Amino acid sequence: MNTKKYLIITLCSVILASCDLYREDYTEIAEEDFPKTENDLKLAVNALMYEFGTGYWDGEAIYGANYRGYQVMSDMTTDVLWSCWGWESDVLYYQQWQDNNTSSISGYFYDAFAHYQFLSKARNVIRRIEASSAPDEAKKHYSAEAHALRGWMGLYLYDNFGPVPVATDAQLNDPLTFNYIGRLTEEQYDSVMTEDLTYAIENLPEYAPRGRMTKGIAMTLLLKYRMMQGRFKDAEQLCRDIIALGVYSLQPNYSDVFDITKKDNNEIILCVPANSSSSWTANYMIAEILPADMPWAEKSTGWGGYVMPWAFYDTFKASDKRLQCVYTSYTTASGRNMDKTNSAQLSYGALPLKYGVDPDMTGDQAGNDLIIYRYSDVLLSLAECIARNSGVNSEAEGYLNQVRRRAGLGDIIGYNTNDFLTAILEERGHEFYLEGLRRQDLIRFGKYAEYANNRIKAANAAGGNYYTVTNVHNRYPIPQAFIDESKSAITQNPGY
Amino acid sequence: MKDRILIILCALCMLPVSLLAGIKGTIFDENNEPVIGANVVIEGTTTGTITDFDGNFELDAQPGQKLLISYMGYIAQTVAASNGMKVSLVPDTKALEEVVVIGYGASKKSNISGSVETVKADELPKAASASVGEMLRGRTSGMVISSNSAAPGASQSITIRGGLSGQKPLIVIDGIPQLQSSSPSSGTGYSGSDKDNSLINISPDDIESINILKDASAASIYGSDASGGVILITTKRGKEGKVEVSYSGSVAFQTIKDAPEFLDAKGFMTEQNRIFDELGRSAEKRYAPEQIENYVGRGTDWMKLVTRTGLVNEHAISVNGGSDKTKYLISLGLYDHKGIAKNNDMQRITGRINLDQQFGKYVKAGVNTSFTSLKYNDVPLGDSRNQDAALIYSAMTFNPTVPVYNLDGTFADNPDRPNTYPNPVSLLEITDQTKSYDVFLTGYLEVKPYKDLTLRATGGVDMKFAGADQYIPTSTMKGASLGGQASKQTNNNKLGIINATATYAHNWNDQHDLSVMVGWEWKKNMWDGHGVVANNFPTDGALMNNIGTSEAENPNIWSSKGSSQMASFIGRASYTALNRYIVTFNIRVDGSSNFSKMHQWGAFPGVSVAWRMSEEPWLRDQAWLSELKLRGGYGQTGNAGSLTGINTVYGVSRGTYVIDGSLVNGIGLNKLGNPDLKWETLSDANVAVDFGFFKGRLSGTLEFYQRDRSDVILTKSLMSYNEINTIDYNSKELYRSRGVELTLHTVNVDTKLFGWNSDICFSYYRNRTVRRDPDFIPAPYQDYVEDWGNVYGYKTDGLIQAGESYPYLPNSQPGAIHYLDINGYQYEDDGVTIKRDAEGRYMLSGKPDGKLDQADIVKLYNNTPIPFSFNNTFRLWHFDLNIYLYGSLNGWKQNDVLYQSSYCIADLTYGVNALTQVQNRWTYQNQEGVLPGVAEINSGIDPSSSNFFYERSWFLRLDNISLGFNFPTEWFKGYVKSARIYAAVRNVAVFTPYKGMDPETGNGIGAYPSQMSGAIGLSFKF
Repeated sequence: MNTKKYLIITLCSVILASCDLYREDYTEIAEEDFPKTENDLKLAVNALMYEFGTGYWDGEAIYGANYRGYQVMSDMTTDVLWSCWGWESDVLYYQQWQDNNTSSISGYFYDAFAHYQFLSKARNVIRRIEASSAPDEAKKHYSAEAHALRGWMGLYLYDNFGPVPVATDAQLNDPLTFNYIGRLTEEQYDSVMTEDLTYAIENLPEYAPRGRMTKGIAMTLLLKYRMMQGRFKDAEQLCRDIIALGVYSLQPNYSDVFDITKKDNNEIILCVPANSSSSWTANYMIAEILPADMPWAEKSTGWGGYVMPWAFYDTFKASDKRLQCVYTSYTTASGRNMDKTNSAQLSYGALPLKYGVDPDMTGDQAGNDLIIYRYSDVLLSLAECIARNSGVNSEAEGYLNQVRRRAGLGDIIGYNTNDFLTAILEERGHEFYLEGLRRQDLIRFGKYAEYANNRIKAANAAGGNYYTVTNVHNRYPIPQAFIDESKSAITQNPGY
Repeated sequence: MKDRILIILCALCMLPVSLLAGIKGTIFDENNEPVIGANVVIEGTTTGTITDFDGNFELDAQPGQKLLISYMGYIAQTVAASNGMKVSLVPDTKALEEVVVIGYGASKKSNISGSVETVKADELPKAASASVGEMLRGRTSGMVISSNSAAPGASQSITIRGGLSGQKPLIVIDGIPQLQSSSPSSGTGYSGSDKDNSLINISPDDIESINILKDASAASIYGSDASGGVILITTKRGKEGKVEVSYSGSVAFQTIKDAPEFLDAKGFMTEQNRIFDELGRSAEKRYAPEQIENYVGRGTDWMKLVTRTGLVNEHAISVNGGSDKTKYLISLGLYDHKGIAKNNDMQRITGRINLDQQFGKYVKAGVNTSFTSLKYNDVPLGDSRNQDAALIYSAMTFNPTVPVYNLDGTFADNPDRPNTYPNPVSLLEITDQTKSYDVFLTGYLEVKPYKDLTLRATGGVDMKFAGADQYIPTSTMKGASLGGQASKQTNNNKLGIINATATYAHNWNDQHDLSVMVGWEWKKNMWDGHGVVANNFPTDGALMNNIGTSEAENPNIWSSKGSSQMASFIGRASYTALNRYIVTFNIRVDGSSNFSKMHQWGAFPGVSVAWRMSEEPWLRDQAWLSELKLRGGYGQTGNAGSLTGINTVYGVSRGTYVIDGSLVNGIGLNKLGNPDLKWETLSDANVAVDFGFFKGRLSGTLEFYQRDRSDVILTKSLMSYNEINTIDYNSKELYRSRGVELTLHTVNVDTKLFGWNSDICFSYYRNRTVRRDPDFIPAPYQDYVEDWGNVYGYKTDGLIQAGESYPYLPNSQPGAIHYLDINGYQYEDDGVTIKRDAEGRYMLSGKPDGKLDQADIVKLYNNTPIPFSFNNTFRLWHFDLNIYLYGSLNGWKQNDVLYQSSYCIADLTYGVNALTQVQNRWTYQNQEGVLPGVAEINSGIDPSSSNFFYERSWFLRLDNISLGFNFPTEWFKGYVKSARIYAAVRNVAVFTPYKGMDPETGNGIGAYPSQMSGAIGLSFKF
């Protein structure tokens, strides 16, 4: 009977002990433990940078090298970039999108618009930084970085869609309540952008390690925004301010800008630094272009897709040094010469391999930083702004010719304002192909749809079946899912 | 312990020898077979003996003395001694009546009122099945077991009653729930098939019986673990009185059953040239006509090079026996499967010791221990394309004109698109090993202080240690680009459990039978793991075993650890009056650490009643009726969903961004907690009738059920602007399953020489969402009450013919699929806003609108299977024959291989091979062609969003034919108790209109081919 007694005693004690149930998971950080220290603030800001990465294929981050990537999508809807991979790229190249797309491009629009959530995320991080117990100096610095990142994404969204909805702090404090918020007006959006970027400009340092935000970056982001808004006076001032920083200068050789051994060159204002050791931080822009059988780095692989269409290639002067990294033919490892007659890819266009060889490129992963904005853009923008604001003058010609001289081209002198602006647009095309600036440049000059219709006309003459497009396409359609979700508080861009 | 067993063994051997001369006699059973090991004792004395192998005994007794003759399962008799006496024993039907394990106890089958199915393991065909899950397929109605792949040891999904809960069934082995865990993945681009992690850990030879608690009135005793149903496995235990050694072994050969037919070299060259013509790129053609004409042979048969004849070897040996005090069972099993893909094998070693010991009059204790070692060698599988293409995919599609090796011995590449597709044979150089060890230790202590009261405490631990190792050598394309890649991953899971029950059972004059149980249980789940993936190795030689030599700048490393707890109170009362009125009440109260303090506890009751009409006096004497029982029950089980927490938490993301060339980490908000979360509830109503006619010649069960899943834990989308825009919550959705199940057992012929029994199982169910969240807006094609089996898509009407064009398909040229524009939207007066109906759904106009969009999507099919099975057992003299068929009366499935081959037909220009069927594609020269031509790829519409490649996939599988021969025991002069040899063929034939790979396992283009197995086996006991 003793056994029974012990059993009952054991049971009772275990039952009592078991009433407190708890679980543990060492991969989680509790809400009340973060952020506290200066290092926490840095980690919180680092987490925001994720959405600007290069190596994501599903639209999670905006600088991927596939059709969803910001730069690729922007360039491929213009005359400077195309792909030999069939209909998906053609939908972009011929701007064949409507509001209710059945093609996968609607998925790209969806992924792009979904990033408007980042504005909330960054805002919450800013508020957490400000509420933390870290030293004031650190709080100011990391808050400024978060402000700059918010401005960066704000620019991306504005570029693609125009103003998007921005939740207020009160709405963010109560995520469980469904607020059906519409898009901001141009003025409201402007005040959000201006506030974010001004704070960043005021509080960021002039120099920082590659990848961290600087004063120059914030100024350039604001410059790009002003250019899109058509506020050329403000833009002109920003250009002058950036030049006055004295941080940046043109590289002597165009190819140096992209050279993997010259990553720290001071022409680059904003880049997404790459690291080829992990799949989500590598630069894939080379692999997208590089034909599989083209000898390149020892361990590299190419996918052989993207090209610079021949029509655009032919607008370059033969002596233009910027063509040095554009291949019109190549010889395979087995000695076969490939050109537009026997390569499907080259029949579409030339190979804009401007990033050059990363000798350590492994498979499709290269380590070249992805160039986002650079100093020659500031110079050409200043030239353009001066011409637009006060007519062409020798100062404006000077900025343009700085860029032309580096390309080995002669000066442009004595053009009237109109011709000068036309020259600027052509120059920008030649300077920035593959960098994703072409779309906004054409829109600013009112030529986005016009150029597309030229391509459409030519394709239809050769048996294509594409409809012509209009300036409606200057902004992408807002995905219906977001309009539905907001109970139509979000309005579609006009014309769709 | 060993000593004790030895002593018992010796004692048993000596007993027959120690007899004294005197009375001789023989004991027979009801079939006139001699009874071995029966007790013969002189009444009132301790003098006695047991019978030998021929049923004979010899006892020093006086004629006329009373002898008490007893044998387990038979009624004891007292007979006067006489020399040469022959005694026939009569079976004790009452004792033999089936006892069914129902969770925290057992019950006589006749007293069961819930829905409980029993399967005897001995009745299952074992040949070439590693897992008892495979054997159970189709054996009970209402439980659907489908293999996710035909690879050795591949995972199975087991759903009981339509799988409404989305949970796997709880598997309870000898009263201890089995740990649910998953094998670690290799963590790299290549992975083998998903592994079976549950039933594969137990050797089918160790199983005595399997009980399945199907409805919640029975399963509620397992509360929140039981929403997927409960499978109770009882292992074999030692039996009193005799040492029994059993052996069973078999060997099986396997051949591929469903390999699709791809183009040979000549066909490939011809079709590639044609595709270039059809694409208008004739200049790029690679083969001159005479080159094709003069090509010798069929080219490289890649499938043949990476596959082989599979081989399965099984051996199981067990020893059991014991005295009235000590009983034991020891078993050891080996299962070795060499898969039909080269380098793909699986090996399992199982060991088990079950021991029961009686201490004095009141106390009994025992241990169950088992050990399982599983070892897999995997090959890369899956549907990936290009560089990551896996073995089967790659073998099906690799260029057949390429030899395996170059002249220098390296693997040949596809010249049509170099450095893109891996050479299939090179993939065999990948090392991919998964090992797992499962240690299952439980002990119990049972005290019977009074006659009717049993106190029982059980404690146990189930530990699984699993590790996956992989190495991709530089001889493969992927390995070359990575400088070799090694991966080592481990996953450890532990379950600690302790429970205690008190059971009071009493029977009053066979009139009232009462059993009451109360209990308590506490469980803790613990997990931890770590892993490394690194590349860039100086040599391939060390594989993944010297991972420190990696030159990778940024190897992927991780580790994790966590635990959760659950405490429960359980109770059951069961009362049977007059052997015919039965009522059972179950309750379990569970508390889980996964919920916040205020919602930690949930109560899950179950009640069922039954009426055994056949025991009523007015029916009892009807000769035609042997059993008639009406049952009904209602119960609830719970489910914590896929819930991991109720807290708002931050998480570290590794390498989110690059600063100055180096990866940095970030910390961001990961999850928005919802402290209001509570248990999901699954409520079950079940009515059934059990029947038996003509002395059991026809018996069966017909059940109807309705199952509701409410408070469903879902992830709700918050407004998309939020930082975290999802949250777990208890939705208002209500899921409902309704179904009917029929099980029939017939004894068609039963003569001394020849017998034929059949079992038929059939089930029909439909899962539906019957209520939605208030803010739910159905898609235009969607019903508010929606059947889960619905398949939606565009309708098609063959192919676009020459001269035809459709404005809503601007990119579809002749030869592309003719998708149908059948509907449009209704607009408000502004012409822009689409009208919505009362449920918020967009309203359709019913007329084509010149656009192919969501409005044109319709319900194409309903895909809910209607499973059935038909099992036949024949016996003739000493032969037995089993013919087993199962299948599904309904099914629709996309023919994935054809879809891939046909839709990507232009990939032929890259040297990607296609099915021979694509020769019948539409071209201007072959306008009769039924498969899309090259134009389809430009249509901008993925054919998988339409019915074009869907085919009917009902099937009937002739799963097993086995013929056995039971040696008459007299041939062995009693030294062998039973011996059987058999030959079996598994997966003999599949009848189905589906033209793709296997209708069950052939998913995706790189599916592991299913196999037909031929086996021979032997089993004996002595």
